[in-house]
Amino acid sequence: MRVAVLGAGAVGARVARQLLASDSVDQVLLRDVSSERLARSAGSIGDRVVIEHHPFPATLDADAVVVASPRGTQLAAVEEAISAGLPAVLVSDGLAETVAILRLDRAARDAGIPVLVGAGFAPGLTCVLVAHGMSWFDEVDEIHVYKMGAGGPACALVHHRALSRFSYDWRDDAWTRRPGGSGRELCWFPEPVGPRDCYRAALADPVLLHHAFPGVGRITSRMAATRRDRLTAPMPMLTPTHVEGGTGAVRVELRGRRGTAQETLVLGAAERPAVGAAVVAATAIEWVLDGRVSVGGMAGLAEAVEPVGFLGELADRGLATEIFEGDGAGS
Amino acid sequence: MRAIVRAVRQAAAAVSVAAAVVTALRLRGRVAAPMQFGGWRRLSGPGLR
Repeated sequence: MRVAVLGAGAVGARVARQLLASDSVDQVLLRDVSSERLARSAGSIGDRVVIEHHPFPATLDADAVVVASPRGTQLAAVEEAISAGLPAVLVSDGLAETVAILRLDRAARDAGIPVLVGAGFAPGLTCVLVAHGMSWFDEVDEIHVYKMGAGGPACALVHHRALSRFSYDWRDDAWTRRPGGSGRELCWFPEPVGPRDCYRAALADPVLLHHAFPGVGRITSRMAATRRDRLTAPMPMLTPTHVEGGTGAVRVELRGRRGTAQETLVLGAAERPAVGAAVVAATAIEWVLDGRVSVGGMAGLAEAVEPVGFLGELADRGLATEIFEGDGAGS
Repeated sequence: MRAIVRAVRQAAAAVSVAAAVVTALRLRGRVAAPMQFGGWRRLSGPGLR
């Protein structure tokens, strides 16, 4: 098996390393526009990686594709994968681009291939946590997703911009548009992150979760930010981003009915976002290659994978899931 | 007339200083988080519960 990984950044290089370490693929084709980044990544991965830098060959010689390139380049990469008839996994986090990619559903179905959208830390792990949490309830009324932290520079830029864009929440059978940076909520993430103020932002999680669970009445998302983040969000990034952010976390909250009781369930995970995204994407592409993904066309992880098995494999790779047991929660 | 202009200037200066102090405090300050009840536990077992 040969997997093409598009993007050799903080996530892409780790996806390649994960795939080769697990021996699930024979060879990884690593593509990036930066020959410097490719050389740095390939040197640490081993000899079963083939690198391709710009200008790329006309054909993509692989059995499947992982798209881990920056926002703005993913739509074209998915179109290329579909036209080549290759199943794909996307580590997408930009809202507008995710919506545009989901519109390629018909083309993906016609090609008879699965395309897993939002297979990173958030969205990605968040979607699987929600899918797992659904099994706790007879009926779920609300889903709320929270994230904290950013991976590499491309992820940090999306994170920065998301606070100044409109967020879209699903509420009462319609999309509600609210300004990013509004709606402060104090949330506890798994340790070592702990409590953080979270705000509305242009995040893709509600779109993917509504795609998977159209019957849920309310789906929202928020991300952790400081006052300085909110103040500087409308401006260009004033300082260069870190090569990689520190420990981040995700948290999902489900409210619904079990039996006759109204209950709340809180699940989460803490990890460096680029590491978490790479683990999720590598596991997802392995499931695609093994034929364990049941959907055809565009789908988020919530509808594409069996959550308990998937979370178990993530735990084997060091990405553990936690439950918050507070007063009445998870009981 | 000069007294009025001086008073307006002093008021403007006082408001500016106060705004600068408040802005600095809001950007820098962290309010202590309220008490958390409960805690996080790793999911385990065959059903990950």
